[in-house]
Amino acid sequence: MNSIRNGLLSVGLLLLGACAGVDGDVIVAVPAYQAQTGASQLSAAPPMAIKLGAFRRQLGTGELPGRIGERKTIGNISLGLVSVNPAPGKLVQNAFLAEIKAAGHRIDNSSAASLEGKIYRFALRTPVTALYWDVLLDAEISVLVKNGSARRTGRYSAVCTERTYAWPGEDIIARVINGCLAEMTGKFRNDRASVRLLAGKS
Amino acid sequence: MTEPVSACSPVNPRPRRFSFLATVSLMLVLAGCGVRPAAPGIEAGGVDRYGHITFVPLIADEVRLVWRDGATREAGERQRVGWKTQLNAGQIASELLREAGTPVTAIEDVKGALLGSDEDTLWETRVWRRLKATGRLDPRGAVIVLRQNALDAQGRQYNPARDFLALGLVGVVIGAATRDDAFQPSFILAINTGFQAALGGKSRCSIGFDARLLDAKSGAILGSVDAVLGQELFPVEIENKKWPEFSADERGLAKTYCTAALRRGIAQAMSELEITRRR
Repeated sequence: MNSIRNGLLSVGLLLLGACAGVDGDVIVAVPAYQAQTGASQLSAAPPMAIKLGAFRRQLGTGELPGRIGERKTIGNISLGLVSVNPAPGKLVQNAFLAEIKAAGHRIDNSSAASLEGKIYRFALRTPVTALYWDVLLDAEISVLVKNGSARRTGRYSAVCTERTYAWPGEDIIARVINGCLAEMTGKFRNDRASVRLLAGKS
Repeated sequence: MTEPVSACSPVNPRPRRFSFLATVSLMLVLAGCGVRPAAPGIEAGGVDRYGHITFVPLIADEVRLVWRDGATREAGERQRVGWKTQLNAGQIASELLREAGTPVTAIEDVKGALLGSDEDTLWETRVWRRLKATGRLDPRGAVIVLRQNALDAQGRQYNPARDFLALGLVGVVIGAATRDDAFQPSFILAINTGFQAALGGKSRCSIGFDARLLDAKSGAILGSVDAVLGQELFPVEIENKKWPEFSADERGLAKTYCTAALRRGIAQAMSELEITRRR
């Protein structure tokens, strides 16, 4: 019975893949990022006001801001493209906002201490075998910290994966994204030089 | 004490799942799986194969709206849009091949090659000859020529016989569109409302073309692919109105998603022509 079920499921998936086209595209609504609770360089710094700028992602001609990758099934067949809402720039900015507040600081757009960033990579793939999909996000950002005339740029990257034996669904994609956001912001929270610069101790 | 549950027991939903899956599969086949899906394009990590690409997009800077509500369909006239579609196509080709290390020269103004009749099967050679005669052809590498097709609202290449059948089946109302409009290539912006939105999905912008890969020096055809489709769904509802009534924001939205459809189509064509090779 199981083999019949798996056979039918495979045929169904192949048909879905072959017919997906744009109707297989998905927009993943990523739930609000939850700040990490552990102690860090950022939480150890005295309370400060920080100006939080945008995180920009360079887009090519005709590239959609929220598009991050593609789901595939066996045989390199596309199941459709994946976009996220909010777009990656906003997702990263929201994650930094949550972390700054959770660490006891406040956002003030007139502050001399500021941070802004660029998104170099935010690419989703779903490598597949006969048994499972890996939902994989490869992300890299740079964060520019400024305080007066002093500035420092840090680069933070993460590769996050979750394996599924059922279906690389939207909930898994959202979890993987938030996992990578936690990893990248975690690296920033413990970047001693950047935090010292924000606190005016360059 | 628990008793073993038989596979056919009402508490075991498997047989229902089989029939559900079979029904869904059948519906998908019937719903038009003959239409080639718009895949996203060239593989990441591919490397240069031809050394240089001359890229010639024969694409009209026009859009045509088709409104469908499930019971009726109305097609509008072609509208000039000023999106610099040919220029964008050249930039897209260059961006897509940058990672592979292939330099691209885009040529956007080959006159007279766009509207060849269906019998004209030598359009790619005509473009190549014209470029060569005017000394604009870089003899290195290969030439890609894209010739835009006329599409119907589903993004399929326009087919008068199928259109006639559709007329008989669902009582289509032909609006301002003339037969000439239906045969002319343009972006197709299909606005789905009401029952059609539930049945056919979101509103979408489509562009289709045939693509040829030629040896730059000899003009020999190295690869060909027909009826490539670039299509993007609008994430928001589009109001059921004519193009001149679109606000600046709505026109901007149409431009964004139609240009995204163009990128998707070009990437797909490059993938099928195997412009790059694996490392």
